[in-house]
Amino acid sequence: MGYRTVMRLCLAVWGLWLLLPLPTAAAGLFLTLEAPYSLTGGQLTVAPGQRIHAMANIENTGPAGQNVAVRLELPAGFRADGKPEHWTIEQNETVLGQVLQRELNLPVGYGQWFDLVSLIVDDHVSEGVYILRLSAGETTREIRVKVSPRVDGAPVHEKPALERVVLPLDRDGVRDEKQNANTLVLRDRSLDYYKNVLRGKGATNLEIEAIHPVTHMGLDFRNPAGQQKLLMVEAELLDKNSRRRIPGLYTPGSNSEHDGAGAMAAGQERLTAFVALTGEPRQRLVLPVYADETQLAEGDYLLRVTVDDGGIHSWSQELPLVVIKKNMRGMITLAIGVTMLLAFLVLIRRKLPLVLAGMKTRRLITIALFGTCAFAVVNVPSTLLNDFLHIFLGPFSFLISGMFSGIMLYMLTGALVTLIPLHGVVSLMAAMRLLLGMLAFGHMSPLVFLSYGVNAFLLELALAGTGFTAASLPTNPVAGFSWQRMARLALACAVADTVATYITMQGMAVLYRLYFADWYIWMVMAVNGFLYTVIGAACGAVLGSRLSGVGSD
Amino acid sequence: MYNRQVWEATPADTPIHKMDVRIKLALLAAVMLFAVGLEGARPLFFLFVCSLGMHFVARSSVQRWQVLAVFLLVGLWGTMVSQALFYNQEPRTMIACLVSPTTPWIGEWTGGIFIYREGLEHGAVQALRSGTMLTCGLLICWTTDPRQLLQCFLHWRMPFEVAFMVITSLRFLPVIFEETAVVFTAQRLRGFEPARSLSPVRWIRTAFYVLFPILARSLRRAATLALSVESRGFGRGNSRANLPMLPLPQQFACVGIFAVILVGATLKVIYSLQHNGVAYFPQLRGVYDFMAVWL
Repeated sequence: MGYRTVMRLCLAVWGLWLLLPLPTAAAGLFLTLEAPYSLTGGQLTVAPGQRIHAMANIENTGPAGQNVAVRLELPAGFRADGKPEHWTIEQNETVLGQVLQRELNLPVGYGQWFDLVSLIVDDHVSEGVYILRLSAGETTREIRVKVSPRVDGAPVHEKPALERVVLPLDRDGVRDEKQNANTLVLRDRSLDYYKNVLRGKGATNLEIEAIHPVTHMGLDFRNPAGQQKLLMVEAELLDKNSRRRIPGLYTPGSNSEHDGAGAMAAGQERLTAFVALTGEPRQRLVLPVYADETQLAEGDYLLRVTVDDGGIHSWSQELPLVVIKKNMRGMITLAIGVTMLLAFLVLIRRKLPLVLAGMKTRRLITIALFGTCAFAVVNVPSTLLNDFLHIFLGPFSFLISGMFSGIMLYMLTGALVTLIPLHGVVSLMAAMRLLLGMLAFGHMSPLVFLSYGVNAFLLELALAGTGFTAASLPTNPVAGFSWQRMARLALACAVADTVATYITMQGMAVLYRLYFADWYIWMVMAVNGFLYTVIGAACGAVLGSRLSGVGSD
Repeated sequence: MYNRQVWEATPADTPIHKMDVRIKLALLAAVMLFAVGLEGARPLFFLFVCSLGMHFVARSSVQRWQVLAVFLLVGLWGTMVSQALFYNQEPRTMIACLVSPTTPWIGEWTGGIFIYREGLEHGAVQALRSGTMLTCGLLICWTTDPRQLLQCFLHWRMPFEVAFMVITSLRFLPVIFEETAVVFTAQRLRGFEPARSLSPVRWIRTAFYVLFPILARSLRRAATLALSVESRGFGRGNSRANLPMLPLPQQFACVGIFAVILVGATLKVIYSLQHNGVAYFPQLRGVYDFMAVWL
């Protein structure tokens, strides 16, 4: 290592020593002053015209509390940005420059105070090293600030600009390519309770469990002047048409009467966050986005993001936002329905030859004719009447058309299984109705197959489960009418039809993208699925017992 | 009221009539898949117009067009009304309030019933799905002899007993319609007026009085018919009615249709997984874009 190299190293160390803030401890006070204060810690020089921050920190290390007068002496060419809160500004008596003063009470036991003071370096200040002095009582701390023009030539007065808002991002601020741009995919929380039960998690606070970011949002700032600022960001959803504010986004732990508990009650209907501009020329501020999945509906919105730096500047941007809500309940119900249908088809393939082989021709014809009757007095009127009633009653037409599809159909079904209480009878009757519907009305759609299949499968299960139907006819059949049998038949049919109605409605919702209110689904299930079916099946049991006395021609 | 020329298949010299029933069913399956899988209003409308175009090709009569129009318009109206009430996407503009949320009981239970403008639009678009399937279903119904369809089902291993049941049903369907009319006339002549009120008790009594004679007659008919067909050897032979092999071009067409179905279903599943944030494959970015823009 040569002599010149050693000298250069020594000079570098001396230069750094001059620039680095060193703590001063005397009279029980510990002072630090850092300027320009940088969040990233990398800024060593300031440029003429630049806005900088000075970070003053005083700590009482003495044995008693102290009232101290704090002075921050600025050199000529440096001035406070506006009127800092709690400070008084005076002109220096000895040299040119401002003096900022204030009184402090530092309690005993390492009582600490700190403040961030915004300063402006004048445009015409000449290049050089300037001294900033912080005094507290007898203790003084001086730092040297080097002023030199920016080497990149960037304008120091240019305000930061919010260039764009990007979402969805991952937690590292990288564009989440799994999702479309400007899209928020919400989780379906309606099944969370059951998931916890299945996982054995026991009693949990679902609201607190739900507090996790749906995605992250990026605010791309251009900051050529390298300004450092603390910013407040507010994001809220607006109606696309009326531009009224829509609740859905929230700030965790701030929107409840139990503030800090993280509960999600109504209250603040926007996302609020504090972020900092660190002085980088381009900076992406990444914010977690919290959305209340139970409150926010699917659809198209406007996302308004407002950024404010304490009233000096504010930025605002609006962007279209698509909210997608996973209808897990509908998807799972449809999956269960399709699984039932497939299981039913497998069962049919295996069992139908046996059922048909054990069935007398007379019974086959009886089932076919009952199926035809069902088609004639149920399918035809309900198809035509339902369409007609739709005009006047809309979705409530089922209250009247359900008298056909509920009461009359189950009268026929009940009568048939009372006459022939065998496995497969209900399925064969349903097959007749399905095939006639296909041939006469062109009723061929996935939903028709799902509805008929699930209904027949559940009915077969319910009737077999209650012992109403069997693989072979009993040797000593019960003669006449029995209240117990009627109740069993009515309940089995009603439960099966209620479940099948629910699956069909969810199938419609998923496959045909239709919306139904929960109360409407419950009403259809209760009236059409249960009530009408109970009445129909009970009457069917009576009808069947009377028909059993009818002889042949 | 019942016009055979409208409801039953009639022969004609059109490409649709000449088409093998298996090809028709494969096409129907493809249309069903697309009707369920497509998302955008434009592709759905295009599919719907295509299905209507098939009726032009099949030279459907004016009466058939009238029937089709009634079914489609009523279905469209029903879906629009239901979606106007239940639409729950944003934005939504309320144009009428049917039940206020403050209405005792029903208002509290339902949270109010409103009519939303966007729901009407959504219903109109979504009704195209069921409308397309109905149009294609009726096309097959009106251009295919039921015997051909049954033969096709038998070819696809439908048990002949079930086919026999279907034929019996088809044979006796007009008879049962007539019997129902006769029963209604007889009941009216005895002074019973079933349509006078919508009282549930009256309705059940009506159903009972109408169904009992029809079903009793059916039971007697079943016994007679069973004796008749058994005496003719029904159930002794199990020879299956096979359709002839499809000509080579139609076989290719069939394979092509199934390939379209398979590709369409796969693309739909892949896109749905990405759309719902379940699974994303970066190498399929082009597929996602294609699905989002075109389908």
